Amino acid sequence: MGKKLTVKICTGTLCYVMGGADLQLLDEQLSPELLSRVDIMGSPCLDCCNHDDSAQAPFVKVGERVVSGATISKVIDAIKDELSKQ
Amino acid sequence: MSKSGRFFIEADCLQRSEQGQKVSGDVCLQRRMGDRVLAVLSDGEGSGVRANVTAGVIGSMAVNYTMNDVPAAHAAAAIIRTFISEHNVQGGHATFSILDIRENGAVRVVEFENPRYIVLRGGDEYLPPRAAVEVEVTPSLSQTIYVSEFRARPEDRIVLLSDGVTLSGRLTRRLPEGWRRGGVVDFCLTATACDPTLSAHELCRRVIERAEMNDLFAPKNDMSCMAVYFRQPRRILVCTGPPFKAENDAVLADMVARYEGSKLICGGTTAQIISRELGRPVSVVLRRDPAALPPTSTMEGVDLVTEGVLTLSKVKSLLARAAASEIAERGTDGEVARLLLAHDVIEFAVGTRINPMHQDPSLPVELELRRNLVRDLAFLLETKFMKHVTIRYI
Repeated sequence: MGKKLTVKICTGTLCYVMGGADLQLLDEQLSPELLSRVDIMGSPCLDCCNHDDSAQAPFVKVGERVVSGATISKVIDAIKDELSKQ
Repeated sequence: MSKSGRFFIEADCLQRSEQGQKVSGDVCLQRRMGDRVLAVLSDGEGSGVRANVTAGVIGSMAVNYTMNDVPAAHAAAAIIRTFISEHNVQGGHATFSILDIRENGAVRVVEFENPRYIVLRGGDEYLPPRAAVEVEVTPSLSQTIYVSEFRARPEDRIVLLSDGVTLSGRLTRRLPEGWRRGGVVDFCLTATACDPTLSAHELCRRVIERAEMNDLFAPKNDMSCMAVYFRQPRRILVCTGPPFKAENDAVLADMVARYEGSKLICGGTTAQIISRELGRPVSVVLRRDPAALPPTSTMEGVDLVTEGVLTLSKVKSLLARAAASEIAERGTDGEVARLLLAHDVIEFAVGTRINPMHQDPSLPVELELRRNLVRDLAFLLETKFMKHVTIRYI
């Protein structure tokens, strides 16, 4: 099996109040198969909110891809998508 | 803190009410003003609300007289004349102890019928000489107060007790005559011998818990313990907010690296900046916080890393409503509050750069401005918890 895909959840103030609180439970929502292929981490702040005005908090980084306005289902889709490229 | 920087006067108190009473009939008051610390423990007549009101009035009279430099005997006489009459002198009546400490270590204690205060010095009890002063209440009735003066030394501890503590356990098989003052002295000496840097806060907690246990966890009387500890100041640096100018990022990181004491970082971006500058990775502990706050992180050499404004704002409201320095909350707010209260000198380093997104009116919660938040928090820590607080903006 290849290298695990890194999923970084932003836990900064803005992301947290915009719905990031629920994203911390991502590992409970992933199927065992997906869970075994990703590494879920938190980040104190991904510093995305300061740079891109068009994007909405909360942010999650799946590999190198930034998911904005992240929800559990959006993140799962992005994980599947990134894994399919590997 | 003493001007010579030799010691800090840590003062704390803890209380338990008589079983079945919602409020304590004892009142502990502490005031820090300029170079002076005042502490009063008063015990109202009886128990419950009535006793609490009496004790509260005695406490504020004692503080105000002392603050205005009224001679101790005059102040005590005024209080006694207000609350003691020929009708209640035989039974239980209001009692008090006033502790007046200057930061050069000069201590004056005025006592009226409370258990004699305890001074712990160098692993033993020190009994300062005290003078009995007769106070005339009415021409036919006089009462005795005790006044003592001594000079405190670094590492001294002073303990004031209400009679609920010394009488705890009375009529039980183990302590038929109660714990008594001697029992408390031995207990405190053992506790401080086992842990020579035991804080005043912790000493109070242990004394009160033992007194409760003596009464089989159903206190028969109001219990209060107040402790003062002349100790080496315990310092903590609280970094919150990114510096206004990016070139000061290194200054902030350098402060953290060089600081001698505990370190707390409140702010995600702040943590990232310090992590980047010092080359120390920061890792988030993903878990649900009981206070519904963002998760904490860990970083080498830093005691705690938390999110910024949401956490500080919860800490502020927690400290504002806390009745004593006993914080039981299990969430991050409780953790931060306990960490702050365990220190004497709290130094805030506040970065003033604002994240414009935090001011978006469509956010589901209102985010307070960090500067105001820290100012309010500092005010609370100084006035309510007697901390020495400094704020530096960067």
